[in-house]
Amino acid sequence: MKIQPDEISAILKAQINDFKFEIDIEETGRVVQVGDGIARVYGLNNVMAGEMLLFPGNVMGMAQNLEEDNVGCIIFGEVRKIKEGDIVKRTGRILQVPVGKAMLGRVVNSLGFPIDGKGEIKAESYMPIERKALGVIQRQPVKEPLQTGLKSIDSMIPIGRGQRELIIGDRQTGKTAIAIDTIINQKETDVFCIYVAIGQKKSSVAKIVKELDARGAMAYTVIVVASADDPASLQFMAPYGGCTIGEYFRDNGQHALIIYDDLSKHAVAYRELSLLLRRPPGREAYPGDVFYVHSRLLERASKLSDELGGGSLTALPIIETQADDISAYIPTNVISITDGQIYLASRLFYSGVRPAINAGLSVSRVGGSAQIKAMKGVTGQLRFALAQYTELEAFSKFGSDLDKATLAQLRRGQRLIEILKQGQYVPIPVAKQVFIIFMANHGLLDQVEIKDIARVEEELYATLDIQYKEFMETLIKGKITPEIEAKMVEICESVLKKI
Amino acid sequence: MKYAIIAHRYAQAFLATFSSQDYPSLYGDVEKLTALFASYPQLISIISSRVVHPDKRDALVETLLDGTAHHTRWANLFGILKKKAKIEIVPAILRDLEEKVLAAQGKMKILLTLAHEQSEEMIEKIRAIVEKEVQAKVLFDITIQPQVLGGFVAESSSLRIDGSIHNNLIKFKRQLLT
Repeated sequence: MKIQPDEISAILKAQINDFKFEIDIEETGRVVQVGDGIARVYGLNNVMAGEMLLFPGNVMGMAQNLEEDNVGCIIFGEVRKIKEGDIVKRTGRILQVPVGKAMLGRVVNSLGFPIDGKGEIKAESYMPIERKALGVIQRQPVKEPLQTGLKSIDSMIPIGRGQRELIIGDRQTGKTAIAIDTIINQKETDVFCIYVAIGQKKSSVAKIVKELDARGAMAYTVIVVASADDPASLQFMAPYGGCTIGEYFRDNGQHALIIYDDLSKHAVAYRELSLLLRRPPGREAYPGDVFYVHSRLLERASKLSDELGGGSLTALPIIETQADDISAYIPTNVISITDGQIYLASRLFYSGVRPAINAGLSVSRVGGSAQIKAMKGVTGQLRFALAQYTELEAFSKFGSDLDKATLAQLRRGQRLIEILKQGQYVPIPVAKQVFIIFMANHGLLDQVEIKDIARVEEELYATLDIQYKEFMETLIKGKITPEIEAKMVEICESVLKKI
Repeated sequence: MKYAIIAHRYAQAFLATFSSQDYPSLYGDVEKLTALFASYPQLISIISSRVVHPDKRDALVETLLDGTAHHTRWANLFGILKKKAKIEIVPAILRDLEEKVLAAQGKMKILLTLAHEQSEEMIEKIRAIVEKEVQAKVLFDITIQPQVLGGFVAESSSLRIDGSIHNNLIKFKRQLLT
């Protein structure tokens, strides 16, 4: 391509002609004290709470504490660039993040700036990070399922679109794995995903990005990162930024899933900021409004009314417990805010039950109404049978003589536990889940040895994929009629014969 | 800036002891003391120095305050500051007091930066622009800085009005790059 000097000079002339000489009016203050991600500013008499402030070196900040004669600010950047006496400018704007489909496939920081080296994001628009949750009139009850692809969750603790389901458990119990599997399972659906990593190691985030990319999940996913080395202010803002990105999809009649990994670290970041801002500490040194910090975030997850497009934002917050203590301050707070919890027990995890879901302590308060009819039909007795098994298993350890009925119950329970086991990154379509649970619940696996269960499952899925694709589509569309049930038994028996 | 907040509190408390009728005389005192401390910055170190005998320091303060309209109140303020070892915040208190007294009279002191000296007519034009923005009568303190290139920059403690060519060229550069 040849560069035309005339063209360039014409463009420059036009630019000069279009340029308007302006007078900038800025309200300013001066930095009195700075350090630890916090600055105290003298002046800024008319600043609003939550307003963006501009520090020297283009470092952004946010007004948090409006005190009698100074303003406490959190700084989203390098504090080293700011020194005492520096001028701070008001922007008159509330913190905003870029939103839209251009964000998909990108890794961004809490403020929406790309950190994946893939260049600038040409965002459709910008939306405020802090938004008020929708009112009662604008919502409707959760009624559509959000399939995680995990048998134990989709069958016993179903999640609906617009629901807030907490994933709780000790470290290394598979909390993030559940979240990542759920994202991977949205591949063939219309759900966009946002994964918010708070206070995590950059290596862990890089691993997640790599896994999602390898499975083609980045195409519909946005990753918001505030890693462990980022200032507490960025870690605090990350979930709000991610939520705004998700709300864009919801408000446009689409569906989004957001994962906050994890809110324990978010609470710790907020505690750090609050203590530095000299707010009075409360229980476990958390500030008094730590409940509100999480409730106002999770309340933004919702299912919109049909008049507003019927979009949804489903939230899966994660909480890390210490020594299986779910009665600590932050876990109880978030449990009370969410619509249920998936409790992962380290005892189960180390005994080989993965996902290590404790069915007794896990619950979904609204998801049942969002479960597909076929799944509802086969899982009716699943939780009950598992609870019975857990109780009987404990008793069976004391005595050797057990009656036939007890032995049968134990046998059934062992098989149920076995079929609910699932590897990482292998989400299973709901129709296949229905089949395997149906098999176990109808006692079709009672005569199969535990070690052969995995083989039966594998064979069943292969048979279904090859021979019964159409039947599976019919199965997920409606109830399980006696005819369908007979057909299912027939398929299962044919599979068992092969083993 | 270190003591800006403390100075603000002292200034507010000191001002509370005056009625609005006293403001013109108080402003006169503030102007006088500000000029003194600006001309002899070492005065602060001498008054707060522990090497200098306390009687001599008291005598120096007495000399400084000689002729002020509100001598007793100033002496009390200096006494408290000396006791609290905060004499170094006196200039900050004076700045704050000046701002407050002027604000009470509907006035504002503005630091006006120009690229070169301007005619009285031009200064009046700038005054009109600034007064419209700050909604107060402005008292200019003019400085010349060739880096501004042209136009003006008007600054107070909480406001910055930038109508300089330097600032507009930066904006133009940004416009060309985007």
